[in-house]
Amino acid sequence: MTALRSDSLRSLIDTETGTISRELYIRDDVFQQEQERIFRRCWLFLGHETLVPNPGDFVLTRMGTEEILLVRDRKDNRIRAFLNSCRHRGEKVCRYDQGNALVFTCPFHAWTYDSAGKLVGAAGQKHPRSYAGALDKDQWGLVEVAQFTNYYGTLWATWDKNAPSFEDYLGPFADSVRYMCESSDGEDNGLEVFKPFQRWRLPTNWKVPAFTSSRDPEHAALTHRSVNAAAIGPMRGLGGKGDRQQKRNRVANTPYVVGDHSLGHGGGWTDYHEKGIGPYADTWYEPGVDDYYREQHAKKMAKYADRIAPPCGHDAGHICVFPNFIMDSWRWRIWHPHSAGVVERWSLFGVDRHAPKYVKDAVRHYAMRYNGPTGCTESDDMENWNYVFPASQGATARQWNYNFANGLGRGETREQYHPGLVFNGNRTEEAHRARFSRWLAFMEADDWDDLYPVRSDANHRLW
Amino acid sequence: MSEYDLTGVHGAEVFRDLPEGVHVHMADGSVGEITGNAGDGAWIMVKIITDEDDPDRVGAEEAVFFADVESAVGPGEEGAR
Repeated sequence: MTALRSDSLRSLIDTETGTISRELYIRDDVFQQEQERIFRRCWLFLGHETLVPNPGDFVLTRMGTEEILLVRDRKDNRIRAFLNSCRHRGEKVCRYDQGNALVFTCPFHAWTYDSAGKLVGAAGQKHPRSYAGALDKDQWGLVEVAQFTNYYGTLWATWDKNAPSFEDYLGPFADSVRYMCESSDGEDNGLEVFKPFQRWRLPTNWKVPAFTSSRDPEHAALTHRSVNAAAIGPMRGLGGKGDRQQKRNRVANTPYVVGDHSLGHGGGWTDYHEKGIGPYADTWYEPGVDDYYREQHAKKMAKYADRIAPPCGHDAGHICVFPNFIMDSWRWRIWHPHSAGVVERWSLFGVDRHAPKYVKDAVRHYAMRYNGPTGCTESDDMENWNYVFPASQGATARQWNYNFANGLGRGETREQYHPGLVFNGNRTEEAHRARFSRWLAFMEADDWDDLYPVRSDANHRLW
Repeated sequence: MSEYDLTGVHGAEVFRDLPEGVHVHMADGSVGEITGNAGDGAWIMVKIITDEDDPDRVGAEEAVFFADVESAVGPGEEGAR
């Protein structure tokens, strides 16, 4: 595929006025280049280890437009990720969303793979008038991702062997991602996710929600006015006046929106000025749930007594891990692109692994009434996400740029971080702009040498 | 009955449900013990017990396609076959 010219791509972003062409969202050639240059090179979220707890367990996930078979090996217990496509004719070798399997058999010609991705059999493999034993099965295993990592229970992969390590890819956000994998008592990798997870498709470009719903405080005032008034809990008194803050870490702090223009991540960022974790606030309707969390919170307070909490997380708002993952400690949301105008949203909800059933039920019920097509809050969001795309693709509409100028020119850098990390007011669109800085870097760069390392003087900041 | 009937319209169902430990006699003359059954009526995992033509296969675990299996007998039933 011929890549779009850099000057052509740059013409879609007006850094002086803080605007972006709608063409960037609706053109098929842009979408195809995103698949090649972003989704084949970035570290992408695949799922959580508790989706596949036992040998032979599998779940289908995605990397960009492609389906991935995530499976725990029956022999060495390792989790691996493969392209869900038979090496013979390309048919899906697994057509179930999740389950447990001894082997994965392509229904077309019975090419069969074990849980390590190795080809272990094919119809006619020994027949004297067929392969007659000549099929070299070692050469025809499933296509495996180039790099894979388990980061405190979360599973990530990239197709690019030259990509930096996942921790380097996260940069200054690594501690925060780790923090969001803690259970409520502060233990590393203390969560499990509910199964099955939520998934549905939306008629919009993937960047509409993935680039701009973390963090986007100004959307809530009107979009979520009704559901905030309804106070669906667990922030029981939530009336749209910041009562949600009761759930957060109430030690002295300064909140920002941060955009990392050199790595693409960003969202809420809170500088805590004191060590420790603030006291617990009762918020749940369901009997006994606050008792459980209060007890766990006390353990977490003890663990953090001499530490300053990381800047992002449930206590400080969610962040986006470039390009398509939005995270806080109770929701991990992924936007899988299907085409320029279709995105598939997956939501995984974390809960303490060792919590009693009544606590898990309460969290699950809250997740359901908040998120997804039937959730009170995100059905509000879908009113926006769903109609942005059709209202933007007309011959007239596409001539008018989107406005991303909130806070433009007011961001500041800090000495201890690379200059691409920009701090701005906590109601600005700095994180959104950072996503587009990194988007352009990926779309222009031929390889990772142009994308990493982030030198101390590096600055991919466009605006 | 010690031998499983793998023929006819019900043969696929019988093959699908063959339990671990059953011995299978294969078209190439080798004999193996089932270590796992995919439950799809097509594939079983087999540990090779004997193969006069290729003794190096003995002990190896292989995926075996239903079409390569001639017969199956329950564990300890070899003599009755």
